[in-house]
Amino acid sequence: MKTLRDAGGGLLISTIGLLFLLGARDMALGDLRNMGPGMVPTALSVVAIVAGLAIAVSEVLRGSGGASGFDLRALVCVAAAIALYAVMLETAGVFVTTIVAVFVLALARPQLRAAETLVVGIALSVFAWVVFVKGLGMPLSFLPDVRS
Amino acid sequence: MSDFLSGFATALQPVNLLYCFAGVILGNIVGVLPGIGAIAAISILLPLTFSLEPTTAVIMLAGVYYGAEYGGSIASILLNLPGTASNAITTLDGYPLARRGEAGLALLTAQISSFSGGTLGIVAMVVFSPLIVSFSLSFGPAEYFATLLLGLVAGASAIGAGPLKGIAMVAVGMLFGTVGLDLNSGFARFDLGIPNLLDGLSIVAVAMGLFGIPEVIANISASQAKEKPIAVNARAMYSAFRRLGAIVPSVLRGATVGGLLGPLPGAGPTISSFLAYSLERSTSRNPEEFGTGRVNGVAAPEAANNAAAQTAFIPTMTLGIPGTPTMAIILGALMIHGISPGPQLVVDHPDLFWGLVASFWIGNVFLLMLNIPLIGVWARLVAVPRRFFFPVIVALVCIGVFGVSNSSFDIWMVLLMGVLGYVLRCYGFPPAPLLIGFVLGPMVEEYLRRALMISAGDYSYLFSTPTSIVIHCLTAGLLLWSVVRGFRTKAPQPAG
Repeated sequence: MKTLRDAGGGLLISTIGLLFLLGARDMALGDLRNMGPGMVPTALSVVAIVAGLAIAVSEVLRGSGGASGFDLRALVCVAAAIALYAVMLETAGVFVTTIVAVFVLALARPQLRAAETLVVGIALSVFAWVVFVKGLGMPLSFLPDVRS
Repeated sequence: MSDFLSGFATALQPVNLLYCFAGVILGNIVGVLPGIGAIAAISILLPLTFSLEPTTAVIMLAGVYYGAEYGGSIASILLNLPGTASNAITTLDGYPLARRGEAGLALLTAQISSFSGGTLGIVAMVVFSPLIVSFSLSFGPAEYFATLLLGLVAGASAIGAGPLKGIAMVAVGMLFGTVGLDLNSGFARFDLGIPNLLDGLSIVAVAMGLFGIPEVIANISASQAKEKPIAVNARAMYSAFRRLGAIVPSVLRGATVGGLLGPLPGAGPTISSFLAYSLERSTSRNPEEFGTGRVNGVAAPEAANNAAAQTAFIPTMTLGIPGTPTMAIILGALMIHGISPGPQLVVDHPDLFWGLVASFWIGNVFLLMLNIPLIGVWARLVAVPRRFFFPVIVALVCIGVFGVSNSSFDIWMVLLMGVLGYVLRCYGFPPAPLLIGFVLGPMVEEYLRRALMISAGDYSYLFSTPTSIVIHCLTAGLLLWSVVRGFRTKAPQPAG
């Protein structure tokens, strides 16, 4: 288990390389003198896989201890807030989305300051609406679009 | 020189002046606030600049970049917390000075040194850019490929995490860069059947995800100790003016270090400020006084990081090779506007290039005139609890990136990049090489394949001119040096 933890970062790089290698299967490689679209991605995938494995081995040998300062709760809260924007922004409007997201972000902290969070959420949603919708003309509504 | 003066005609147009002003103020504010860097701020602002003229857009984004160098020193001096990474070294002597009741002197030194360093950096840019341009105008695909490769290797190796991690991150960045239509064959690569991916991953989403989101995740739950910034007012700064004579040599040394290191790929303002400080200490007659509140310890690094922030634009604008991730984003901004930086840019759009250079100096004057009277405002801003910033950053990132193509798809991309960036950051992988690979990767591939098309697949063409051979030697030397350095820094570790 400890070995796996040490190797995590390198293995992540190798996994990304492997995914791109699989994705590049159907692309014409061509040859080195006349490259097809698949040549560069395939070569880079191999570099990433090899470099990732080399890093994994060296970290295990060094006993680096793997990730440091990993904060799962903060990661989940921030990721959830971004996902909320992706899901809700177009349908629920700037106001509701921002307030919900601000509360989800506040959950990352040890204690919830409900009143303060609500004020931040309201102020921020008005600010964002003025800048992005009024100022830049983005096709977003402030309140939920009830017609659709 | 006459080109530089004609640039003022562009820079002094009201709209450019306005956005230059907005850019440096914003940069100053994000500089003052610890935890938000110029990279995050520029990538958040990027969508806002799409509707502007390219010259105006770049003037504003550049203003954020060098403005942050000014503001960053304020938090370093008053709070002992660096506003941006390149102001970290300023805390060593700036904060002790402020504790001793000389905050006015420390702040004035930082501002004047920043201005002098920035000005000298601009002079270097005015002098050297035309020389580089006239040299590089003769570049063919072989030379471009060589230069881009040098940029990639420098991006991978200059980061302190060891060459292997740098190479891994550059490779992943280049892989991200291959997504979308292949320019040579028209083949859609890695599009997964999603139309949004045909144009490739958005640089806005990649930059925000890699630099903005991990910063939020890493700091959001940190409890802020009762940090109380040291009080200061503008009068204290005015009265310090007559004590500035002592810093002149330090400023000149710092600006020289910064001006020389700024254009080097991978070096940038942070490394410049560290080197300038250690040079200052080692050439001093009383090195032991450093760290206890020496003005020279503030002057040299602040002159260095501002000089470097300006000269970093030289390779970006004249060769199209960004040395730092911030420069990569500015390059991306130009490409979004359909302008590809390089020697041709200076020749075809002299108003853009020289207008930008002229705006640098105007922005520097703005910053100097603003920061001294407004120091009381910035000192209060330093004290705002940072928990208020995180929801603002997340909202600006998500809604801003939505605006790039008015689709939620890019918000999902930010999520993916943000989580990936955070996990990699925890494992000690630096994000900068990934971004540099992402920006340079497609160009490297294009020039390589173009060169091979010209030579009918003959690889010796890549080494056919003296220029390309010299550049390839530099690349090889850099690679070798980073491997050697990797071994040397590893050796003393077990003992320490």
